[in-house]
Amino acid sequence: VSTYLTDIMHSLIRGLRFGRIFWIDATNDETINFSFQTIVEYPDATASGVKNMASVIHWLSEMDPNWLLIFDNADGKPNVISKSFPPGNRGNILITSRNPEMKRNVSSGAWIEVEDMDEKDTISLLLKAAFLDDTSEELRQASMPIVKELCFLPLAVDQAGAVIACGLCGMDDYLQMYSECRQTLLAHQSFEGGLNYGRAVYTTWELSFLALEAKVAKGKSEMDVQAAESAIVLLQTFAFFHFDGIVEDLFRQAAEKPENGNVIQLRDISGLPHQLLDCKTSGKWNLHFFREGIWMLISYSLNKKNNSGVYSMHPLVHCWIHDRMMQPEQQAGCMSAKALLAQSITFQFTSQDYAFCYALLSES
Amino acid sequence: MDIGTNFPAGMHTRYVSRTSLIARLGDIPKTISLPNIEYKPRTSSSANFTGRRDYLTKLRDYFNLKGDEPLRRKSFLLYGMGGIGKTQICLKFTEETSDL
Repeated sequence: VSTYLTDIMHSLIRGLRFGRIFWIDATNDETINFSFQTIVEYPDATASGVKNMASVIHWLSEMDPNWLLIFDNADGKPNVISKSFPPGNRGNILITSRNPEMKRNVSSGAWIEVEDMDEKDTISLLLKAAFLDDTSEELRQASMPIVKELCFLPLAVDQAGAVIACGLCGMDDYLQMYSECRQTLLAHQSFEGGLNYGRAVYTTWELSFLALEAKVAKGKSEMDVQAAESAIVLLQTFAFFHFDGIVEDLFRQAAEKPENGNVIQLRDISGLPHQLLDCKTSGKWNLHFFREGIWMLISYSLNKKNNSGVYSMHPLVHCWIHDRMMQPEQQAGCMSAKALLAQSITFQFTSQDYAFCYALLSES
Repeated sequence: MDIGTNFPAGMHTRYVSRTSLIARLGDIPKTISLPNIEYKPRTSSSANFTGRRDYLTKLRDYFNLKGDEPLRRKSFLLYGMGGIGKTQICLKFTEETSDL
């Protein structure tokens, strides 16, 4: 009886405990399959006659339901993981994803968007990663501009700490180095921080770009291919707008009001004109391609919807897409962006136009 | 490019090594390291893990069984951009809720 009471006391004091935790790398079908294969080799699974992924799933549905099954990096479509949920109404599932659509796999409200860290914690992270005293007021002050420049993004801050720890630069000149070699500092594996993450900041977004390119090359449907094409062209055009005010109206105005007869053509990666600015026979803009492209960018967390018709990009994602482009692509993207701007601004200014132009103020 | 010349004379020794480091930076090809899409097993959370209490509390509250609640499947989603720390929060949560 006393052990029983101790157990209860224990669980009351320590709160939530899972009997078993299973970790699935949900990057794609192969990694999911591989993760389940490793569970096959657990002694109690083997003892229960578990042989393959399907039997692991069945085994889970029958065991004591105090388990937690984690699907990490489930960045694909929602059904990539839902097909491996154990049947029944028991157990616990935790998903991490870039794709907000993944909400379909959980009940209403059972989600949270992970956002930037607060200033205090980000400064502590930078100093810890740099092996410096995170209680020193002086160092905390010196950290402020660095974490601001890195937009409080944990992976970027951890990586900056690693660069400082290896002696490449100090707290005092990190920002100068950053302004000169941003791409190298953010893109290269050797400046990976202490997260065991295995990926540099830029590399983690490159993963999404590769997925877009794979869709262009062999998408599951015509619609998928078109959406991915639009997404890439939009991304490369957005690189030349301000990251915080990407307005749909810009495209609408450019499509519907081609003054002096110049029709703008946005070009995709293969250099072909793109249908993003096509109009219907009524003369109204066919926003279908734009919306599909945006929707795809949102599903990779490369873009965010602020409010109706206004989108934004994380400032560091904005840097990445700019830095990853080669010179000719940069020129083409810059031309498209300029043409869009020129085309969409009318001479009869209204207050609405002023608001519109304000939203377009670009940093570049 | 010798950016060392921008520094005061007293810092000379420092920027000699710095210049060579910059030179080494120049040797690194200006391409983004290609992602390695191999299976990644569960690791432990970073030794530098900091803060994020609000998220960890939310997870704990969600999965905690309340006395009057019927037993049912519970599924929760952490979503957000790459590099924001979703996996780290997840790892920290598992460490705080398992005896292993």
